[in-house]
Amino acid sequence: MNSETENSRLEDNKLTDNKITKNESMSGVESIHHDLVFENLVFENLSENFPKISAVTNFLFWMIPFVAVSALRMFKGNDAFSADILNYVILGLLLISFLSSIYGYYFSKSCGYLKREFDIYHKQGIWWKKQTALSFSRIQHIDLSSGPLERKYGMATLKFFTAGGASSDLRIHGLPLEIAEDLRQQILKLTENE
Amino acid sequence: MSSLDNEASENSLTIKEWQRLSSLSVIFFIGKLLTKIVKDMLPSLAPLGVIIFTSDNKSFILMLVAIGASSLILLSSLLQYWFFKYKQEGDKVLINDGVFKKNKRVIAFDRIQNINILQPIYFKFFNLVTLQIQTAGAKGNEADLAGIPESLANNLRNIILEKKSQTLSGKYQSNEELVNDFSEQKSEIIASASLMDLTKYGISSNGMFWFFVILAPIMGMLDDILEKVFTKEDIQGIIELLGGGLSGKIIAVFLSVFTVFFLMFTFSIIGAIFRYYHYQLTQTKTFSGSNSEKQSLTDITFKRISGLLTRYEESLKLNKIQSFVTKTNFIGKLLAVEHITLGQVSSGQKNQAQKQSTFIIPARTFEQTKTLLNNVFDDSPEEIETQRISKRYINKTVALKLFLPSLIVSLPFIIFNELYWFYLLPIVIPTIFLPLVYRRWKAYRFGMKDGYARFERGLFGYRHITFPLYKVQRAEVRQSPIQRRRNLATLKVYLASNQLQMQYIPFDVANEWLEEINKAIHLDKRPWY
Repeated sequence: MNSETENSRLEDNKLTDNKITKNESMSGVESIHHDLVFENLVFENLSENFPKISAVTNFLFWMIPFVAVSALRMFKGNDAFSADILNYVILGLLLISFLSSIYGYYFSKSCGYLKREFDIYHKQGIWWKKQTALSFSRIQHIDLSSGPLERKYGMATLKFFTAGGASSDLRIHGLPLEIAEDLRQQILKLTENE
Repeated sequence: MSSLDNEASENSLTIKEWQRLSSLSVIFFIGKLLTKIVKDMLPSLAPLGVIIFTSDNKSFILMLVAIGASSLILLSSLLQYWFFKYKQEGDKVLINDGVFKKNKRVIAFDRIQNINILQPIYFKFFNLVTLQIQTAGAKGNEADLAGIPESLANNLRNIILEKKSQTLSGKYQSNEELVNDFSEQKSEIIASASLMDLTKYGISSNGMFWFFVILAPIMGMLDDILEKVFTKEDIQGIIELLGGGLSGKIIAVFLSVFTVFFLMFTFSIIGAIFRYYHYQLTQTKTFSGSNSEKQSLTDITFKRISGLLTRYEESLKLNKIQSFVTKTNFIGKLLAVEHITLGQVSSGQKNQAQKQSTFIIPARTFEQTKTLLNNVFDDSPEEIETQRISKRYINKTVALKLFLPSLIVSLPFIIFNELYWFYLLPIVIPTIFLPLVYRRWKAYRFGMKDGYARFERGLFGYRHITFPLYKVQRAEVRQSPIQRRRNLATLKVYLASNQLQMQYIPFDVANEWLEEINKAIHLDKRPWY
């Protein structure tokens, strides 16, 4: 057991060694030996359909109130005042639909994941960036889900549950289906070994 | 009853048949129902009260309502008692209860988070106790076995704790056979609290204020009553008594504020004494091995006994402890005492039961805290050096949380009402609060050493958290656009007990923490629970 751990640690070090670029005096924390410079992690891309699908989903989401308000405008907007207001609302919703669809596109492009030997990294965000690290041994269970649109384009969402409340889950949207299945199998196997 | 008692104490395996609680448990059910009524229904009952008090024959209706309500409560408690049955099956406790809606609960031993034994005063003379079982999972999967013999409760607890440590160590050392024909326990008291300590705790902890939370609905009614009792003339009279005029009014206001504070502290102290009277924390180490030569420490359990009217006996496995939290408020700082909370796995949703069961060790001096930390995390470093967060935190807080909101508030006044002196608001408010922001910035500190981390924050009081890195569930680095420009980031750490975050630390340092945490998690093979 022990030697195994040692070996895997060595391997791990080897793995990370490749990615090292020397970066001196980065921090005041002395006890940390950083074998790895974070920015140099190479994240895997998600499904190439993911940005398009996100754009469409976001657009459709905002289309619901758009259609509803438009219908209201058609049937009820008789007096000039309310018609005016409704016009503005419709215009606003249309604008929001387009903007959120563009945002969805680029947001999805910013997402990425990286499976390493013992953990999985996930990054997302255009302006507000977020990077998450989750060790396999802390995973309670994994959910694989796939909505109708996702299914059509061969994508899936992986949800990792950890102890400590709903807010500590990690979700990876827009994974290619076979990669998602594969990841799940691999990680389940690894968590069993723990 | 006594035969069961003997059986329970003789055989370590206990109740195979469905058992009913002691008939005294009716009192427990009445109490439970009453607290529920007071907490949830009292405000909605207020209209009824109005009807009663405004009606012509008050006393008659009041009597009718009182008789009706109390017989209803009694009946429902009796039914609850009658339909409540429990038994043990292998390593599970089965509980069936419910009058109309039948409820079948199966609680597996290895899912049990805490086992507490409570002895309310009405159980004391009959050697009965309440066994409180709490699970880590979803809310509602906990159970109170009220009114079971004390020996049975102790037995059940021991079995459950033993089974749990067996399964745990079984997972831990999977290859080795687990034959423990030798086992030895050593207990020592590691903390206790005198009345003086409890008084200090009462004054300097905010935790005791839940006492008020429960009282709040009653306070609401009190308000109405006070209004009826003290008429305007009375208040006028009091002001006259205090010298009248403006000074009288001022004194009256001061007096009432003082009274409120005084009452708050008194209640808080009384609450602390009720809850933690005769506080004793013991640490029990279990050594076991296949023969007496090869003995190893297999288990450490903390047990805390306290309580004035109701005696609480709570146990906590060392493995379960996720974090070591010390906190105090400004009075506690003056008195040089702090309170320790041992962070346990929480289900995320904070329910009352969990809040009450948080493992608190009241009123420790700094030295005592140090020894306790060593008791809890024996490989923790003597001292963890901490560093400050970036000063940009002050700029951000002043700009985004003080300047911007006050600007937004003042703009309508300036534009529409032409009250130009509102221009001053965005300047005055940040200036007033700047010292507080500075204080807060100064209190934020973080550090890591030998596999342990320490997060500090505070304002008037403080809250320090020490936790082993390998117990972390997940870590996250966030970066806002402002932070990115300065190469700063926010580090978020998710423990099974709570979430912590440290904002405005160097981006690289945050990423190193991420790496270091993940490394600790997969190199340290100790179980986190």
